[in-house]
Amino acid sequence: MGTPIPLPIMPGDLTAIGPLLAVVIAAAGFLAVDMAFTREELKNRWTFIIGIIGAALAAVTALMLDIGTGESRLILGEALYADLYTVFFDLLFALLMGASLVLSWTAVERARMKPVEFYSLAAFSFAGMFLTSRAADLLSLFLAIELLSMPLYVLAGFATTSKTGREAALKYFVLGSVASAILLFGIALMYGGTGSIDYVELGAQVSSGGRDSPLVLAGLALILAGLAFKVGAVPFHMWTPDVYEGSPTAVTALMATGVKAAGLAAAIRFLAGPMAAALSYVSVMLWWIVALSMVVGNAGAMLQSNVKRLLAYSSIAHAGYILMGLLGDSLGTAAAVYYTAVYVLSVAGAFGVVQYFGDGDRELETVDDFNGAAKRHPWISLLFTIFLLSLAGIPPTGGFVAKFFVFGSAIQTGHIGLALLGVLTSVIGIYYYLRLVIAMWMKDEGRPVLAELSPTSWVVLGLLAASVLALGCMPGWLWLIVQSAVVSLV
Amino acid sequence: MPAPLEYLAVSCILFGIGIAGVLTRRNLLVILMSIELMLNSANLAFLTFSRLHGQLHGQVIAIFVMTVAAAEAAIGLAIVVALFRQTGSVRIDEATRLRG
Amino acid sequence: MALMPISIVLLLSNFLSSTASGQMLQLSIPWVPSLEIEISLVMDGLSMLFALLISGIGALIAIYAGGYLADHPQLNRFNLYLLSFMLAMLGVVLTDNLITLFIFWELTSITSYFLIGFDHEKEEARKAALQALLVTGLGGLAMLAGLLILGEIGGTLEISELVANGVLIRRSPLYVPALLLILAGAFTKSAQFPFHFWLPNAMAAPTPASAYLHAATMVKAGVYLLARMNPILGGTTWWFALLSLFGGTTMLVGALVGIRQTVFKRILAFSTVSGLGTLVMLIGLGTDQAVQAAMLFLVAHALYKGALFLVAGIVDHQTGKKDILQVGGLAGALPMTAMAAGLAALSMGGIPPLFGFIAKEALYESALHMGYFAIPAVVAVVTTGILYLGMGLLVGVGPFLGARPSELGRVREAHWSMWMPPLVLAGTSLLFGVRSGLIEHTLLSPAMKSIVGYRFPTHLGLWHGFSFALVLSLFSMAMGVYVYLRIEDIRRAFRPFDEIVHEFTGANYDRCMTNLMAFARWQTDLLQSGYLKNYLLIIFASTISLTTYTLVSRAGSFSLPFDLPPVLHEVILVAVILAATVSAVFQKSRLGAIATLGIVGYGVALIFATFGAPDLAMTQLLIETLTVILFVLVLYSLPGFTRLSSKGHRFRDAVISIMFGALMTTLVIAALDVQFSPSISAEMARKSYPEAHGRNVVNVILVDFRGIDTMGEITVLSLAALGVFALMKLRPEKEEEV
Repeated sequence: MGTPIPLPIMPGDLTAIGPLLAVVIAAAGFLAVDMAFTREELKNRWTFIIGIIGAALAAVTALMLDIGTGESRLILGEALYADLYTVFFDLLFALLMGASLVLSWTAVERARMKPVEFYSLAAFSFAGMFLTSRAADLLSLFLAIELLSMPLYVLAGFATTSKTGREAALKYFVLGSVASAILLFGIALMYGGTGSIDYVELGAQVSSGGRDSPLVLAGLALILAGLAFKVGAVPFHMWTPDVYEGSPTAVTALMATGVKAAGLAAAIRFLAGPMAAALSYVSVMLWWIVALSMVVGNAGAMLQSNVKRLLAYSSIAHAGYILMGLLGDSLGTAAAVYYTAVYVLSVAGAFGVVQYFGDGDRELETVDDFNGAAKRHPWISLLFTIFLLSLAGIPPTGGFVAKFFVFGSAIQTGHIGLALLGVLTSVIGIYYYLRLVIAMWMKDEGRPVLAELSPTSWVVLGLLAASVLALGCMPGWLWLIVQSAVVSLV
Repeated sequence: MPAPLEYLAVSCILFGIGIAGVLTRRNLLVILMSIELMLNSANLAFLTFSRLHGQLHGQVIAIFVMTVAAAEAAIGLAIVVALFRQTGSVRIDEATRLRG
Repeated sequence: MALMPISIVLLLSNFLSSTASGQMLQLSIPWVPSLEIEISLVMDGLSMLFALLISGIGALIAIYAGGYLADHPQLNRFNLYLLSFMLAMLGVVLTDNLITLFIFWELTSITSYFLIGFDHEKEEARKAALQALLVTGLGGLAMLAGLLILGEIGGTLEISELVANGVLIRRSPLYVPALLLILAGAFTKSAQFPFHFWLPNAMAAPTPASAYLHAATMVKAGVYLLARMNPILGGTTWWFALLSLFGGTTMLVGALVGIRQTVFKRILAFSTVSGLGTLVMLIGLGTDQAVQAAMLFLVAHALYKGALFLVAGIVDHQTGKKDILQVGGLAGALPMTAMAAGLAALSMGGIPPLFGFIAKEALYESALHMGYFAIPAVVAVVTTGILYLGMGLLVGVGPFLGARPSELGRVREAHWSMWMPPLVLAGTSLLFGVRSGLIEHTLLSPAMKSIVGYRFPTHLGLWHGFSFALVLSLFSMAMGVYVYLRIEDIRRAFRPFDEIVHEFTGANYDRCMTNLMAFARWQTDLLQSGYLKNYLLIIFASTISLTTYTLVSRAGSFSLPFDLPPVLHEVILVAVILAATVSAVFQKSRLGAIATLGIVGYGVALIFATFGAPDLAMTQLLIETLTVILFVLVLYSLPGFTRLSSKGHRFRDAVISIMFGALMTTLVIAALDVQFSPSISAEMARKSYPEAHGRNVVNVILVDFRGIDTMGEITVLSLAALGVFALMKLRPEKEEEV
């Protein structure tokens, strides 16, 4: 080793973690706002301004990254990646952060949370999310996941009006930290088996090892379990319904979109990136996780009358559909990424709408509460319907195209049985999503109350709906981007 | 000096005790301690492997993990206190309102 | 409202001359270029025939709906749904790409869902709409899987290109799965037995929608698909057997159940089921005559069934009666309607000179030429033909003749916009019957060419000379009239049959839904009990099985570093230790537990001794003795064990613990096997000063080599502080005290 090893921080590295820095600075800004002002209106106004600037800055710095020829670049002492994949997820998370700032405001105040406190904790969680898609070794992965989870443990129990918030926080925390411990022990075993935590080197060792070390195998299985927990896949899903239901809706929205996407970003990077050779060791397990997630998630959602719980169960099913993509080839990985994007946009929209329905302190809880919504509030019901149809996978929405890509890749790689199970369970999905649509459009007796939407909220919801439709009608352009992003993974 | 393998065995046993504690105890504080035990057993494994491989990576990871564990413990305790203030109990089998 | 379908008809007729000459017009727009999915439109004889039916009948329905729903506050919404449905349906028959075909296919399901559920205040309508959507949606998605497999084995998603690869596809091992899946889509959509039950239930839709969707167009999408797939998938034994079996059964069952209904729309619905079965069977038979009969029957059926539905709507609208037993003698009050009804009923019964007669002749003719299968085929089609005439008379003639029940009151003829469309349809039946040449060469034979791949001569006409088919025809006419006259007895005779059919079909759907719900409830109760304990248990159990499976599945590829033959006294020692451990777990008193634990300890000491470590054995012996004494002293004054958890729970926890212990033991043993690399810490130490100017290696790594992670770490700490502060600050409010 005679050649000098370059210093870890290279010029351009800071741009590459720009989005991360932007949200961390925004988080610091929120704290400063909390200290600097005493009047609530000023606090709120500045929180909003700083948050939007932070999100915009994150998006801009993400776009500034020079991706060169599309190959993946390792930065900061080979701890993180910088490539099209990170840019893709950066933009998604920046969008989510903006959407959360605009759409969750009412729900945050309704749950008697202080916006400045909510958003400073949320910003830390977003920092964790920005880190998940870039993690290039197991330590970064662990830290990213911890960073994104911990603020949510707190936020889950944050609402003082909720009777169930504390229980949700307790369950989320205990199960979450146990999952972290399992993940960490897996990392330890993996490190023990190979002497490395770098994805690239791990991948090289796994694919050239010739003889599989049991430590590596056990480590891999434990890491898979930890990741499956964060993604909310069966049989590590039990926290999802309870925590989604019990947490304040603004927090649930964050979990259903950000946490899910970040977990998937990490899982896809880990399983389809340089470590792809290891996937074959756990593919049978992944098959079962996918199959069970689709069955349990959809069957569970059928029974629910609580809307948040229904969306929670359905999110389990979607995790299954997305992970199905990983069983395929690179086309399948691209399908998984595409599905993630569509899912996140649709759920962000759906929760965005749900957060505005309600009367004073009370939110709309059950499906029946939405009876007659279309009669009184046709436009927002229309938007909600678009998001629900996308989640149900009905053309011409993005949800359909995403399902088509995933099932298509599964069939191409010979997982016909799994694809058929996916098809069968999708029909259950149509059944329960349509219950909400029926409640809104076909039952007239109820009179749900809608909080006032600011013009910005309309714009954001409209944009989300438009993008969901655009992804269904013109999938070509995003598909191209996703494909190149997936190519840069390997 | 014992071979590193013994340390590894201790680490595995600690992790097992942690799991057993989480599974069988009803007091939230004890469960918190058990989770800490699991994290620390992973630390021990890192250190052992670090020694076995003759590297420092493992030690560095251990330092990171300790900090994370501290943060997690802090949040866990905060949740315990919040729950205690609300229900007056720290037994986890009393929190079953969310189900189904 | 009717302008749009009419302009589509005019637009289509521009291309009529080119499709009539057997040309195929194509147009494609790239959609997802990287996956070669295109929105490609194609227009050949088959597409043209369907497209004209869809838009032509669509125009009439739009006019009719204007009258039928004139007082309905949401007429515009109905029109919107109807138009979207029509466009989706046109998409199905005009697209050349399997994927876009599927998309339009599902869109017809969705729009028909809204049409069936249009009167959504009625619970029954909502339920029927959902049932139709679930059944056809499920079939549609299965079809998607089939189409994808087809695309995979055919190498392209374009139907026109797949035709060229037909032989290759039929020989593929994946041919049968693909066929079954595609048939699942076609059979559910076209209401084939045993999936037909949704169609009669879907009669909850407003009558214009029933006439359009459930008689003329949507249910024929499955038939269209089969016709379209015939050159690709057809010609095999599977194809022949499945289609003719399902089609034939559906044809008979539909007719037999339909004849004993008394509600207008239910009679029509079951006869439609039967008609769809006929079409599927004919395509399955696949001979030239059968295909010709299929196309004739398709047109004839669309004309007379559409007209009869509309007539049923008029009777309902003007009298408020939905049952044929409640009406009679309406001919005077509804003269125009009665004329349309009569013509349509006769066409349905296959009476010359209506078009239905030509279709029926062709049907009998093709059944007669089935070789081995001729006898059952002829029996089936003649039975159906007899029942068709019976049903046609019941719906189209009975209500207008005889005595008028007094409770009907005054009945007025409907608005012209309502009686005109059925009259046009029925009149067309007459026109095509008398002048069949009008459509023979322009529409029918190009469509047949699309199905079989070549053009064959056709001879349409009312008079084919004296043939066996004519004899059968006369026989069935006579029997049909007889059935109509003796309808009371027939209703009674067929009653048990009705229930058997329901048991096989609709009841199965209900059972499926109930079972699904029960399964959902069972798994939710199992997994989502609300108890954190159980969640943890499931997570650990799954983690352990995941890990164990991963290890076991690869067990062949690594070996454990042991090669010691077991010696007798070692085996005995191990057995004693194990026995003592087990008994320690199950001891009821503390003292007993301690004593058995002592045995375990001494056993271990003995093992040390046999492995040549006497000093270790000595220490172990002393420690063990001391521990036992101490334990006994401390615990002597404590009470016995209290049972905290049930036997089942203890057993469950024990299993988890044993599994975990076994796993960990394996891992520790496995760690022996790892090839550990030589020290590279020296390199880190060497690197640390020149590169990072620090002498404490760990420090250097933290702040320099892993600087970014340290930043993340600091962030973690700060957020933890923030979180703790925030949670502590919260004081529960009064209202939430529990």
